[in-house]
Amino acid sequence: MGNRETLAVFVKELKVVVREKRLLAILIMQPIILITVFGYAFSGEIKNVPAVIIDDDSSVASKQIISAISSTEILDLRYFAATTSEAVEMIKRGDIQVAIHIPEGFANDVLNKGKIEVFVDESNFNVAITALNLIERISSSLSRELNGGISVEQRYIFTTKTRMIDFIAPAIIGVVIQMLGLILSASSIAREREEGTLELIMATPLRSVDLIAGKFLAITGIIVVDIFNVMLISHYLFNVEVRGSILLLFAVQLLFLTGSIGLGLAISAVSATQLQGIQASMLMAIVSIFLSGFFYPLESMPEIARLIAYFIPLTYANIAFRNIMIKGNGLDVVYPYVGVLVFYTLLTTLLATRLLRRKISTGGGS
Amino acid sequence: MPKAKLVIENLTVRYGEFVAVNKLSFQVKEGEILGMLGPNGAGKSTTIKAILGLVSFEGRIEIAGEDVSSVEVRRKIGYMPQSFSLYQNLTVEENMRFFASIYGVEKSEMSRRMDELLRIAELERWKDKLVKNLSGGMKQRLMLACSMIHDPEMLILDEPTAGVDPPLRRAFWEHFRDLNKEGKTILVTTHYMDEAENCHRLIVMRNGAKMAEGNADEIKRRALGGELILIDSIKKQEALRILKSFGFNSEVVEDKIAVLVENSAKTLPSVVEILRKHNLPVTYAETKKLTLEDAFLKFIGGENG
Ligand SMILES: Nc1ncnc2c1ncn2[C@@H]1O[C@H](COP(=O)(O)OP(=O)(O)O)[C@@H](O)[C@H]1O
Ligand SMILES: [Mg+2]
Repeated sequence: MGNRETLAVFVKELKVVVREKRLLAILIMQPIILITVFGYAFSGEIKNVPAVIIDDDSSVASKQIISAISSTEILDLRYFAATTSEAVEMIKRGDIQVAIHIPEGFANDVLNKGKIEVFVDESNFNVAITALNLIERISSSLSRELNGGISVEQRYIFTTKTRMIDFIAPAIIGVVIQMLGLILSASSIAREREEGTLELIMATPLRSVDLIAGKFLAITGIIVVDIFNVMLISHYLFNVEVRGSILLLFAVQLLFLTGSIGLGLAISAVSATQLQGIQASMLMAIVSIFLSGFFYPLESMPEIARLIAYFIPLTYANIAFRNIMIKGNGLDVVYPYVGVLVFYTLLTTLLATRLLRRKISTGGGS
Repeated sequence: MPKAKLVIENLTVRYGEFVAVNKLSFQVKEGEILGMLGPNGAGKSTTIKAILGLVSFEGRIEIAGEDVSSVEVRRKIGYMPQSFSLYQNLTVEENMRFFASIYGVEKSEMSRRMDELLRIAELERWKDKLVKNLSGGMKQRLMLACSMIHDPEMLILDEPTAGVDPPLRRAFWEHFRDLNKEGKTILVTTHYMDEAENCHRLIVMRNGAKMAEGNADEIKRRALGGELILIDSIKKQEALRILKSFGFNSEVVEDKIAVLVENSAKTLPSVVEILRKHNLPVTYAETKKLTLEDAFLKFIGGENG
């Protein structure tokens, strides 16, 4: 493989895409819009978080705290529980996310060192922090009023619950990789064919491996920017966490990206125009989104849909991403899905090289 | 006898059922300008694509003794396609650099080569302009420059002057002749007869087959099966009878006698002499120049189908 030739194709490809302002805008904005829209739709503003109070003190001071809390919109005091263990159970079941325990003798202690226990659902970090901040604020204003001191003790409850956005964010990355990978690669070969440059470069000693390698690298470079955007936004704006290895996640993302680019190149080799290539890719992407378990886990899909889903590579990418991001699993767990993706990637890249070489050698020029 | 730079033997190219080039054979000799002439759809571009490995074909094509199936052979060729095909969203310089890189032009050689070609193509001032913003003539000059970026031994130019205004056409051909003098072999297709006269040899194609081959004069002679002498004498019918009795293929065309001979310049004096001996003074004599266009039309016209 010629490094210099590959590099020349890589540089050229990047310049061409960057100078096509409309394409570039789509490439950069689409993932950002996707994650932001889904993020706001499925993580929601922190408001009316279901909470429970365990008031073992029943004093004027504890009533004051309870009324201060209920006067805000952040927590929704739905229940009163008798014991903390009952409250913790409720959190684990997912009925509530926050429990506030005011221990017996709080009113007496408040003048020197009264304490409030706050139990929060750790899986929903954003909510937990907001609730804790609220209670800290209320306690300290009350402390000032009473010339005393209240300390807030935080207790994290570990649950296996996930928010919708935790479930969807990994799939958004999958969709972005597949959709943009397909579109970029399909249009890149087709553009060259329409402008006649494909014929011209095929008349040079440039080998098709170098051409494909250069295009692969350029498209990968662009989509890696998209992946980072989505990951950063979902982390910093919507508190989506990667519990497993970031490196493993990135490696699987690159693997799936390679497969998608391969598929895009293969599609563009058999489609006559740039538009046709993009349309075919879009169709692929949309079908994949609906049938790959984007919104619902595979297990809750109808049987026929599930059967189809097993033939969609995005399904395996989503499962792998979710396992790594939500459950923190390693390669020991996700290897079957990664295996399927390796197979997919080998298949599509081989197909692309084959089809492109044949396409080129049998002309198909105007 | 110069060596053959390009040998094409029994070339057949099909697009599905359709035979675009049919058992074509010809050679381009080292250092010559060979013109391919033929109407639209004759198969000129297809022949060129076969040489460059852009279509699959039957037959044998060799460049400098090497089969064209080897990719390395392409380093020896500079190709200028019929329709404009460079990267519209790259600048003049970026296009040249790209092609220099994929042709493997040495880094040290690259800037010198690019500067020289920019100067020749008169594109120095435009080197940072995006190609899509260039005029038609500039684009054409850039295509030629890009095809020569790797200093190829042979240039294959598919209608390089199509849609180019006459002054630039002339400049292009002057440049081709200069390149040829520097030793470059050129295979060029054209529509323009005046351009064809610039070629050392010509191939006339029609329906994927070769109709004629030779230099411009040979082509013209072959079109008629010879050359024409036009003469007139005081007694036209008498003169015609005598010429026929001497075995000349002659007849009255309009108000002159047309004599078909192998070589008009050589034969004219003897024709005049014969008539003079029979007391038929010649009042008019001309070796009729057939234009290449006449010959061309004759070859591609119906009766040779
Ligand atoms: N890709 C193609 N598919 C089918 N037919 C083609 C293709 N390219 C050219 N042809 C046909 O082959 C014939 C020769 O075309 P071409 O070589 O372009 O002729 P020329 O260059 O002499 O005008 C034409 O009849 C043309 O329609
Ligand atoms: Mg043509």
